[in-house]
Amino acid sequence: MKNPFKNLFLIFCLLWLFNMGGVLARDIVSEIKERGYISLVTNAEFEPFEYKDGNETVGIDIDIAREIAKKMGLELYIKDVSYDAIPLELSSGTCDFALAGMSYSEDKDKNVDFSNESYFDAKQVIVVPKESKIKREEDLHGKRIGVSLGYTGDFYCTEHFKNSEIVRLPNSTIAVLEMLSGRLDVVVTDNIPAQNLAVKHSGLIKVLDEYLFEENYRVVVPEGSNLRDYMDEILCELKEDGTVEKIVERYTANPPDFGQGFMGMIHNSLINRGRYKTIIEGLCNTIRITCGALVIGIFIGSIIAFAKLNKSKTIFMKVLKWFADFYLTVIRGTPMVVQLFVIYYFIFVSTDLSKTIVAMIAFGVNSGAYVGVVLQSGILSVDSGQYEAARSLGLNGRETMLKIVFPQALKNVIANLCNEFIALIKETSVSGFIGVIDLSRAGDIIRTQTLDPFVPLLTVAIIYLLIVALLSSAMDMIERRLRKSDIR
Amino acid sequence: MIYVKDLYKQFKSDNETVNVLNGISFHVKKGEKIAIIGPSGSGKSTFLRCLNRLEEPTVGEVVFEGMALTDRRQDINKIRRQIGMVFQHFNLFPHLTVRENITLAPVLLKVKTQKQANSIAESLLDRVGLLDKADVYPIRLSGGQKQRVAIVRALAMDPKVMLFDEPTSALDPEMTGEVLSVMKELAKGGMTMIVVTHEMSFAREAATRVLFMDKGKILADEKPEDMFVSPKHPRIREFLSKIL
Repeated sequence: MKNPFKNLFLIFCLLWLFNMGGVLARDIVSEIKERGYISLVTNAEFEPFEYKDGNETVGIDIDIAREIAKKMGLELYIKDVSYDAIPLELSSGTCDFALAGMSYSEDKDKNVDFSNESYFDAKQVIVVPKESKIKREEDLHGKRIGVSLGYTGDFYCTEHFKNSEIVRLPNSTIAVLEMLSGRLDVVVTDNIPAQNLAVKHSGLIKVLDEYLFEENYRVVVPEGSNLRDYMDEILCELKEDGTVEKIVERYTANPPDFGQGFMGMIHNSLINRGRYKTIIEGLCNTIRITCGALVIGIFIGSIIAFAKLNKSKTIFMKVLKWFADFYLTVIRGTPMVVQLFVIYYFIFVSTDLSKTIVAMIAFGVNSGAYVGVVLQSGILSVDSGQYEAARSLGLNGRETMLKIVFPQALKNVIANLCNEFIALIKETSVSGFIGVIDLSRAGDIIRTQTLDPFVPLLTVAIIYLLIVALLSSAMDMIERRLRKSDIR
Repeated sequence: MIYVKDLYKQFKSDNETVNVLNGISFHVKKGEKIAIIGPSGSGKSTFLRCLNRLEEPTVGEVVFEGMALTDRRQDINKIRRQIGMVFQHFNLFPHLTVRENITLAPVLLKVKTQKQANSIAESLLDRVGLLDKADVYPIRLSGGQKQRVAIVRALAMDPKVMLFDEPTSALDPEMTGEVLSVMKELAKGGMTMIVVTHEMSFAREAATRVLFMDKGKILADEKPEDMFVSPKHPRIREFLSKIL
């Protein structure tokens, strides 16, 4: 299916530098057995292999992982992150093994090890509109082919159909919608989602019998440990006694129910299998992250404003000023996603902090830069006479700041701060990259289950809109209160 | 009460150095009312601001009631409580009501309780005829009213001396009178005052001494009748002939 490894080449180079000393085979198996649990990392957006059922992660891969843990006599912990992040989770030592529909290819085993045994053979198939003239692989030359970005289908088509237009889309659900609207001739994707999509859009699309190639899903473990051989043994046993086959059958026997008509779509996206719970969980996390980040942001922002405005020339202040400039440049000059990645995988890699807390810190650190600049301009907007009058009455610098300058500065910048807060709420939608289930990711999760992107997206959009509208009116109220001294 | 000795002040910018004060020495006794006059740019305001160290003198000594302001070990905030200051542009705190403007410092600095501060604020406001404005925000006051509140704000700290930095320069002529009469009343009450001003009538009627400053130096320090009736220095004659 997917291949995250090329996208992350740069991060791998960094990780490789970090790990240079530790590539010798380690006895991870004993380590794990001693601690009594084993942690699985996956990306629960790939039904039926791994997906969310309410708040629970389920699927073929998950059940196989459970069997593996059972064989080892260990408890199983499941961590759900974005697909791109899985190799990092393993090489950083945060998780022990991954089952996420990952297949081996020559260039991707540099930083993780793949088991020799595979547990599932997936076909990459060709999906076309019902009346299409495309019958076999050769017909794909010169056509517009939709693939999922970074998936093996993407790499295969890029290599084999050089004169075709390869359109890389976020997932096969959207690719099929593109095809139905006439912007694509064909979609290449995994067999199981393809079959499900054919059920959902029955009468409109079909899956060709001839498939492009087959790939073998394997267990992925950290590089250079004895865990790989151990996993091979267990997989062998599970295949021989028919456990794997039974699990696969349980999940593929009946195609999912997709609901008919508009109301059916809504019912299916929000109510079936308690999917609204995912939305609520996401909403709670979004609010939690935003509020935490806001507090951290205001704290850091105040320090930055203080450092930028302080006139003292002590060494400490000079260092603080230098640091503030450095911080502002870095934070404002790099994308939020990269900051989140770096903070999660390099700075907090060996702590037990929950992902939500890490996200809070990352967004707080980001927000602090913007809040800092806003506060700085606010303080500069207060007339220096105010400062002098307060000092002439005997107030010290701190009292003057707190009682005289800051309240006036706040009034001047409250609209800008509010803006920053609203931007922050929406910015938190990238926290899905480290696997936090925020509002946006909750929508993504439901979309992968229902193969319908519209209802979840609209729902999520409406919730964001409501939060922002509520917040704006609250801010208006605060601003009115602060402005009561301006009324003649 | 205040001794000033050999005060110099330089303002340095990237490409030039301006000498604003060039060796000023004088002293003020309790109860004196001193008017400082002189052409603009002569250093009057800078000199006044050095007296409570809003401006840091480059060289020289300022001693208030035996405490050297210019000594870094002195708690300047404690000294400033005893030196009231009134600014050209009033500098009332716009986010606070008139009452809060007056009571903030005494209460915050634990000089008075909120209750004491309130009653003093009210009696002082009554004296300047603004009791009915106690609970409005400064934006609703005229310039003259603002300056009277600013005077009350400084008085509420029970200062031993009051510094006025061109208190009427930003006012319409018709509002000047109301501020000046408050100041004259204050002078009658025995307050020690140092006033930088362009209001010769005030200098003549209320001051006990008049200082004439030019180019960062005190050219004359005389009784008002001597200064205005028979000025000795030609520079002073020139100045007075222009404005009177």
